[in-house]
Amino acid sequence: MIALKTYLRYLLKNKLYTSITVLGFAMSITFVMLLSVYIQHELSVDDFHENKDRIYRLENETVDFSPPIAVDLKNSIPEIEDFTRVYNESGRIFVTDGQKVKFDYLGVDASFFNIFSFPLLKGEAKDVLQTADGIVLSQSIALKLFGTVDPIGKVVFMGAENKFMVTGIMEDFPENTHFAKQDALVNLKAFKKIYDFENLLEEYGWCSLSTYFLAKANSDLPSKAPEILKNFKKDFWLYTEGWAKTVEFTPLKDIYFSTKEGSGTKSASKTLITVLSVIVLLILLLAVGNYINLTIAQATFRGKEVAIKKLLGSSKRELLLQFIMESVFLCFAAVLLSLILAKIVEPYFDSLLNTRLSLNESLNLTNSIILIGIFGLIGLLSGIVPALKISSFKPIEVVKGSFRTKSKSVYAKAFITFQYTVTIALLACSWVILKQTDFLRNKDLGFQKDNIVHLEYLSTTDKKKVVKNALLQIPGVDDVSITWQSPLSGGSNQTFDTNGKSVSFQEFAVDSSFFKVFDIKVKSTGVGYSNKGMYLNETAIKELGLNGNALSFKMEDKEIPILGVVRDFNFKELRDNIGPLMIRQQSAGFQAGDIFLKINNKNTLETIGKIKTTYASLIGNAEFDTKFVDETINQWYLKEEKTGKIIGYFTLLSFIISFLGILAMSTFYMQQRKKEIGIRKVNGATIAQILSLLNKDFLKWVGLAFLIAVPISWVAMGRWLENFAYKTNMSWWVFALAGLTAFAIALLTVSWQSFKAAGANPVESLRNE
Amino acid sequence: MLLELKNIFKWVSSGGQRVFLLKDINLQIAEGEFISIMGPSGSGKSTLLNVIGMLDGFDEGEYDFLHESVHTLKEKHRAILYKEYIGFVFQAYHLIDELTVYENLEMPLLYKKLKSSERKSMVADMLDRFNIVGKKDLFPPQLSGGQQQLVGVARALIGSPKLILADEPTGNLNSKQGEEIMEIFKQLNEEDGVTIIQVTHSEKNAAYGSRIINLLDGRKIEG
Repeated sequence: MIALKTYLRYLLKNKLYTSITVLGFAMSITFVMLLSVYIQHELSVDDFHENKDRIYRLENETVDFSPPIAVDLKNSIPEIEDFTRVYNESGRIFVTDGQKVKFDYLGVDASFFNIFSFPLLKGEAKDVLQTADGIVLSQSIALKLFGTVDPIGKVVFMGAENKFMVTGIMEDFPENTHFAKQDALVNLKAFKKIYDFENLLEEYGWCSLSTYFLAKANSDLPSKAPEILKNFKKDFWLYTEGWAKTVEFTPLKDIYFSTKEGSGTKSASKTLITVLSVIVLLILLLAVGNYINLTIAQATFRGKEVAIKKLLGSSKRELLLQFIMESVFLCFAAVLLSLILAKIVEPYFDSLLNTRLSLNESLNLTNSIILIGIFGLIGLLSGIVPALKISSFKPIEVVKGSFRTKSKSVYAKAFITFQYTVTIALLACSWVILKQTDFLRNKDLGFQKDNIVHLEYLSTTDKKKVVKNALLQIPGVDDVSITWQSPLSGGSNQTFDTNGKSVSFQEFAVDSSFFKVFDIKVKSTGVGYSNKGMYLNETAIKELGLNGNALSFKMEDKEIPILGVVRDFNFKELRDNIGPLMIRQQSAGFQAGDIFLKINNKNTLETIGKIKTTYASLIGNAEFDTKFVDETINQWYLKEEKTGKIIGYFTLLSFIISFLGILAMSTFYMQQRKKEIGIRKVNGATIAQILSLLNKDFLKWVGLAFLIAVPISWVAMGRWLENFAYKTNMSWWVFALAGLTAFAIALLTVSWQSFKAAGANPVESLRNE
Repeated sequence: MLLELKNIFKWVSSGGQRVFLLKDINLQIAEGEFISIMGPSGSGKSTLLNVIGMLDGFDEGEYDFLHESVHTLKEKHRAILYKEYIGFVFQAYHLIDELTVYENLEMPLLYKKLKSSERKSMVADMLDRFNIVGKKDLFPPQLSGGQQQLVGVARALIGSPKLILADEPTGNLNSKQGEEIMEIFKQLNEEDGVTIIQVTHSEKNAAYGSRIINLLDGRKIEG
């Protein structure tokens, strides 16, 4: 107890050391803990399905198959126990007289709830989706539509003709599944009516569904893939026409990390998880190393205590035990503090990684034992190293004053180099990411994106004129364009044959105001106006092998007049290059999807308010969003911004760790060289000369770290930028600045210590008593 | 006159009381003297030596060194002064373990901004003079105590100081090694006219000097 008491007094006396050690370690643990929970979370996606080892998704180069394929395979492959097809759609759902609520839903087979283990609150898994007019609502949409009334047996509508009866209520899909949030499930058969297409489920041409199979127990379904591929190549058009070339069964566990986008799914990047795991390990390594360094550095100041204890009869073993106990004690203090910190930053962390960590749930018995175990061990390990060192001090040397804490601290210097390598590399990376995000946001897209309001077109096709005219009446609205597809959606893909060559174009259909609203330059070809005429962008002209003066092009067997050539603009995220684009005209009967309103920037709020009320009155009681085009475009790069932010926080953390590291090392080092400094001063060295001598020794290692960090971050960022068609250049100054920043911080930290050492009266350090 | 101390007081405050380390010290030292400072532990010998060496300040009194009043000088000028005229020898030698004998001797010259060729010849002279040419590439821990102190003296001498301050220079040496060092001091004093002030416990060593100053509780008692 005396030991603990002296230790506590010692800690209180050395507030700076104590707070730096505990706080620094706690911050690192906080990050490590949050990230570990996140990684654990991500890796456990879809673990809750009882059949998780038997569920596979059928995939080719994409995941899209036609509806009858699942049935065909079930009939021919004995390993298949069951299947469900999944198709996602969104729309408006309402009860009689209620608001038309925007919702996302899936069309699935009746077996869905038997294959996947999503809990039903009401209804039986085998019954709820048996009929084409049954619908299972999620808990939250049920609450929105019905309030507290029991919805079972009630009727909901998705349009005047599409009536459904609520057969079940399911819990909202949890975070940890590869399915995105859905508001409802219906039987796939319902789409026959929704799409008004009786033979939809027999249609091989409708190739838009994901197909999941439940394999029989102890069977090897994936091994059937080659056989299936052989058959597909014989008689499935997707393969005979060369659109797909492979077949595979992807196990459920891998779907979440798949790069192929399925119906109604979300995904995560395995790379991000790997990068984060590496970062967690790095931080843990840095933090533990730092903790050891700080403790050793501080221990050298405790030589006297150790010497006296030894002289008074304490054994080496007792001293060892004392130091280890102290270290474990300090470590647990840090862990406790980090738990509090983690709780505080959790919401922010959630929004950053777009997740919900539920830290409380994660802090179960197993995890607590792991946590205590790991950090107990770290405390033990980081206690042992300094403990061995201190407890082997020769007391007589300490007492006589001839004791010097000298060590060939190659390890410590290698560690400093490592720390600063990580720090500089991270800093350079976060700046490149920042620079790229900024570049993407500010790049000239070739069209005007400011002051344009975007609405979803929710009225019927025959009302287009009415809607447009009504919106044009609003003061503040300069122009209105009704379109199908837009620069925000990237267009719809249209693959066609032109003079024997198959080409893949994106397609919009716009009204006459489109080019004005977006301020897109068009060069008219002078061809007389016709309904069938199209506009092509410059890339499309090139793709077709035409020159700028061409008046028409061939699409299948039709000759299409070219009304004008549109100057290339970016109609997709800047990850992609500008592809060929054809722009049709919104004839009266053409379906519409979007409305764009060009507003002037006076009284924006008032104008928006009027647009909302006017539009609401035009489309009846339906839910709709009002968005600005420039905001939507900014959102495209949210992911990059978040990645940048995550790396940014790590950079900050690693800066703090490195700062503490070099602080500890310089304290230690100055202590070691106190005598030498004294001798040099007595022999005529000035403070400036001593400073440069001491600092040089550290900055050398930071310089080395810089040399290692630059190529690493250069390559890493080069690889990352390859994801973008449009990239900022990795200017040399980003790297120079990263190095300089680290250098400056190291210099300041070391100088703090070395100035103290250099300024000290040499008499103190040269005293013999 | 090399230096003169007039009414020097030095104290530390402890618990609101002044504890005097030096009390009313008056001292005149002419060039070419060889002085021994004696006294029991804690009598202020080392403190006095440090004050003379300008390593330590004092609280009251006047100190003239070569007709410059040290007490009015700024730290920087004081440093220039002692760099130019004073060499130090310590009981624990205070060599830098990481530097070779050669480099230890060269170090003070580096701080005087001498040219490399000049430094080379000066170090060579010293090595020669103390018969340690053969040891020039060794590190201090590889030498005996006597040899280390020899290097210590050589280092003190390399800048050709007028005054050498030695704080128990033989304290860590056996009697034979001690004698050698004292002989060297005597020789320096007599042949080169270097002023020497040493702190010592030993009557025998004190006898090498021309004058003895006795201290007790920070006060000069005779001499």
